Amino acid sequence: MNWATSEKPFKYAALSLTTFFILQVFLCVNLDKWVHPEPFESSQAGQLDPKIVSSLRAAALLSGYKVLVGHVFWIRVIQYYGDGSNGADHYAKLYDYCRLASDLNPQFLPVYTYGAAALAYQQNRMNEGVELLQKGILANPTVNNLKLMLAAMTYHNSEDYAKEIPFLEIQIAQGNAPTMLVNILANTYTKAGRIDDAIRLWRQILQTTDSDVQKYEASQKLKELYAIAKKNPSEKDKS
Amino acid sequence: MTTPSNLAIHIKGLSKTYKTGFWFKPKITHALNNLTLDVYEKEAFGLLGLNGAGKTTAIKIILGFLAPTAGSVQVLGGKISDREVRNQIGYLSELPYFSRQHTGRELLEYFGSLHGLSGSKLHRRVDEVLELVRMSKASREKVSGYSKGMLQRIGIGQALIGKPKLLICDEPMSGLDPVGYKEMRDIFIDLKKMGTTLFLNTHIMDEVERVCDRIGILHGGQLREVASVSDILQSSVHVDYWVDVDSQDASRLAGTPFQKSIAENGGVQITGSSLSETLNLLNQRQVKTKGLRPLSSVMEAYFLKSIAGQSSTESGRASK
Amino acid sequence: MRRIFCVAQFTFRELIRSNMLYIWFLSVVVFSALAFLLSILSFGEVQKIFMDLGLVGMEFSGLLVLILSLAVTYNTEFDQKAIYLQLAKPITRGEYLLGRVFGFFSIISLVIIGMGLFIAGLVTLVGGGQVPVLFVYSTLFLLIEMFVLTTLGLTFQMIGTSMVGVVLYTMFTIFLGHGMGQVDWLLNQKLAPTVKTMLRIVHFLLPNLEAFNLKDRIYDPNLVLGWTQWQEVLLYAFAYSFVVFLIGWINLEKREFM
Repeated sequence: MNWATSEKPFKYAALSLTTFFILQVFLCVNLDKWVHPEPFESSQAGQLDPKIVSSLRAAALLSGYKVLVGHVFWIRVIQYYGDGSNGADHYAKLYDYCRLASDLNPQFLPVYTYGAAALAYQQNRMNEGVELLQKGILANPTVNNLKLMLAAMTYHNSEDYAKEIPFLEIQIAQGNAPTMLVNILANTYTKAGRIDDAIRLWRQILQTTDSDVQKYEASQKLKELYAIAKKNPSEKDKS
Repeated sequence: MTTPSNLAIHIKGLSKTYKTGFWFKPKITHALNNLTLDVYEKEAFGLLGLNGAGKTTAIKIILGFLAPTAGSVQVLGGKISDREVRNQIGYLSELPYFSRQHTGRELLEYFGSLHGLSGSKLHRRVDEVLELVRMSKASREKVSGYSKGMLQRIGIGQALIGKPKLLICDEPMSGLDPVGYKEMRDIFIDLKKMGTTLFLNTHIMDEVERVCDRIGILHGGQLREVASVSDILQSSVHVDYWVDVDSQDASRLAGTPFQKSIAENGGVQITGSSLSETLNLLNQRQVKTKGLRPLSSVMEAYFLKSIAGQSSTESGRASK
Repeated sequence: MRRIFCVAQFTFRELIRSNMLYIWFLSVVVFSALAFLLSILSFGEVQKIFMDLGLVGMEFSGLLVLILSLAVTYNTEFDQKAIYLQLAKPITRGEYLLGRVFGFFSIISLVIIGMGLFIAGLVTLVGGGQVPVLFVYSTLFLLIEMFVLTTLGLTFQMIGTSMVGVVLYTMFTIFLGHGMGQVDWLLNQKLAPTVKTMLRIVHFLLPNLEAFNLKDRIYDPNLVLGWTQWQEVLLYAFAYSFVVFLIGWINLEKREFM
């Protein structure tokens, strides 16, 4: 081929180029159905700084590493909740943090289970916990754990602990639940008057956990439960 | 365009203009100006010129790396863009650079495979070339450990791998030490004996004198001269000679039109003369000479005069 | 065809000996450590985290190898003029460019597939989990994406006049290519017609890398990945790469080697 002196091959190349460019444009338009259009800006920053939210979303969406940013951001959420100094305002930003983490990584279930458990059971913000779970169920309709948790939370809200317990038990038995949920079940056993089950579960936690904080909590709970059991031996029969 | 069948390179009215600077204020440089030149098969042709004379530009146009602004080039009777033509050409660039991650053998195998060689044919040819360029021993070492001379030899090896009819070299002696220089020169002489057409772009006069049959002198993008080396060497081109004589004899040379200076120990520099004129002069004045050596080569003097615009042979724009 | 293979083989050998596999090793270590750390801190879904981060690591190391290879070879081929000796041989510039594309792509594939196998092995052999078929599909999509980007990067190399320029063009295209989802979204908003036209041109000129981004949707229950989607994605990748390759080829043919 003589490109330097003849224009003929160039003409063929230009023709192929045009044809394939049109084809790729056509396919690109078709691919729009496949590529989900995503808003650049998060519609609800809530109590979070909108600048931080937008930069985070920009980093996630433009880099092509949305899930990675989601995972890393999730650690930030956990740090936020683990920092006692944030307890002064009752972890006011927790819900918005969880929502943003779930925006970035909608199929990452701990965001919903951990977030909802923390909001509903520990911070008594049942509505926000339920909303987060609902979002999780919509994004993951085939995941039963979230539905079980929603049911458990609904009974918890109406203080029907006996009905709440089976939902928590199934969820924990499936093995994917956060440790926090085991503590919640143990406490729910107590509330439902099932002291022996509560003692069994706290013992199990004490034996299996690596966390010193949790060990301390479990031993304290066991002391309280032994005292209740001693004072009221009939509790055993009740349970 | 029809050309004689014995032409290896046929250049007609070749010009190359570069535009540099900003688009609204372009600076135009004429690298080549209406170059017309024929190089015959099986000859060794040297293109001489100062830096920036347009030698490399001419080679790049011949090889298709640059498009000419005007004019045409035919190589081995065809166009350089033809695969078959390129298959018969070997090219060595100035200070050739290779991927440092390969051994000399691997490089030659790669370049050989680009010539369509494969299998045992390729390996045999690589061995032959390694032998020819005296690189057999170091062929399994990585190129990163090679000296400049070794790189140059691998460079010439890759140019020869396809058994080229025409070998084009751009400053092949550049950066070589005296040993490397001699080895390279010997390779060219061997190739010439084997009937390979050589097109050398150089400014080393000794190389031209010993290897080339004809030379062309390029200056400021224009071809000043084309002459045969033997004509130049036999020409009456004037060079300086240093004559060793006794101090008494030296005084006999005083006042001659060619005498330039007399040293205390009796040496005399005779300038602006040819060898025959110098010998005649010494004979006429009955000067006993202890030694005679030229202070510059004939080729160098010829070249310098040519670029200064004074042609000193009758050959002028000679053809073979 | 043989000459294309020779150039590809030569390029592959050149890159693999330029210590590109250290990048692979480094990526494996960094992303495994990151996955391990995140899985400890994140309260569950260890396998998912490992696979997510594994896929990120695969893409990241592939891109890193691509960008570094572009930089290294630009220096060798264009700055040091090694390309001269090759183009003087009986090989067309198109064959040379295609050989480079395949050479680059083979080392990038090696890095991606190697890391994929490592992650899959870790999940199944150490974690006792299962590798979903979508992980394999995501890897294939990554390879398709890398092919498009390799062609694009090498085309930039043929057009570019400096190593920095080539690297920057490629990196910007990667970012903008991933931003196509947002361009799609913007195109559905109320915008001035000129802005919309400009956006549409950008949309058609840049590669839609989100089309190959299966790694972010590996657990998406709404994901539909049938034969039609495969066909569309493959055809799009081929058409786009071909257009880009032709541009690179024409540029190389017209390029003046000063």
